[in-house]
Amino acid sequence: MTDETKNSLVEKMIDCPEELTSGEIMSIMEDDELRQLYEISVGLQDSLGCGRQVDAAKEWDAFRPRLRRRSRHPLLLIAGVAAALAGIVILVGIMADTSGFRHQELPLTDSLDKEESVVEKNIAEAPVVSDTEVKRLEHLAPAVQKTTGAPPAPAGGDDTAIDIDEFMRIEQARIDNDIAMAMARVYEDEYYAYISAAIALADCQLASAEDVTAMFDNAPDIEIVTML
Amino acid sequence: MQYSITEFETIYLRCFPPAMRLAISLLHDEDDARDAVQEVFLRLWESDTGIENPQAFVIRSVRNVCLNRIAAADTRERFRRRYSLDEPDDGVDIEARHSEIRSAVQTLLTQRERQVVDKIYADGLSYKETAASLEVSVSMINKSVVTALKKLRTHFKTNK
Repeated sequence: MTDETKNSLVEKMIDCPEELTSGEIMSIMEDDELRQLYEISVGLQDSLGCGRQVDAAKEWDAFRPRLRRRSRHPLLLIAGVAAALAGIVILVGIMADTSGFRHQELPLTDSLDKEESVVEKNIAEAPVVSDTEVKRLEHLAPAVQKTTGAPPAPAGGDDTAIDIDEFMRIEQARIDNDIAMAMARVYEDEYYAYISAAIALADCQLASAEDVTAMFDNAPDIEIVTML
Repeated sequence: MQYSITEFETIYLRCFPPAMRLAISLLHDEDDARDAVQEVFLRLWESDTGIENPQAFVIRSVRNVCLNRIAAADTRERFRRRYSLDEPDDGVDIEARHSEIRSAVQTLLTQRERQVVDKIYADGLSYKETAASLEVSVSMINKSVVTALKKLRTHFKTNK
């Protein structure tokens, strides 16, 4: 490589390095002198290029807002967690609502009061039992208990806890029942429409051709009518 | 986060100028340098562990961040940004190296060569701008640069 070519490459690598071609880069990398001149040039840039004045106060003013944003970060994190929890609760609520799974509602107070008053009324109206009768009944009670056996065990925790399979079966049955009821209502409507049209015909009332056609089209299946 | 805003401001005002100078000297770009320095200060702000000497932490971290960025650049990018082609040596004292080069420039180069080198490397002027400011041709500028670089190369080669 001639000195002229080397000088030309030095000019390019210092003045406009972005214009270096891949071949020129390879030439610089492979030539020891050019490579060393490049490294000296980098050293000059490192040493002389950092002498500018730095306004620290101005830089601080520009940087400080970034600290504020970061310092609020934990609060944002807590807010995010709260939002996620709220979302989960809402989701569970929606799922429970769509699946029809609800907690057992307590009986209303007024219905309880009503039942209580009925019981009190029955007690008041009950015939008076004499002491001798009471003694006779007490005497018979053990024998009755013996013949009927022990009273059934009260419902335990296992009976109240519905496992998932049981729950799914109940849900499936409920859905089937809903479909059957909806179908029944449709058939019922068709049946009443048919009966009305037949009565109208029997009374010799005028009916349009469309009504008569609809009457025969909607004629219910005898099996479905029986089922209803 | 272990510092109050006031404490952190004091540290920032004290440490930013040397950190910024170091970052500029390594990355050769003010925006890149500022980004690297701010990255380190944010790390210091978010640090939960106590840092005994924040200034040393900032300088060391800025140096590491800059060297990592240089290491991530490919050859073309290194030429474009005027980064060293050699892998950085962690043991080198950067400040000592810089003062050594500055001293060599002052002692070895002629006045004209010093002028040209200052315009190009310290002021960031192009060959054309330098030629215009010194009222010489562009080829003369290149000749001065090449001569200056060769003198420095010989000096550092013999003193290695």
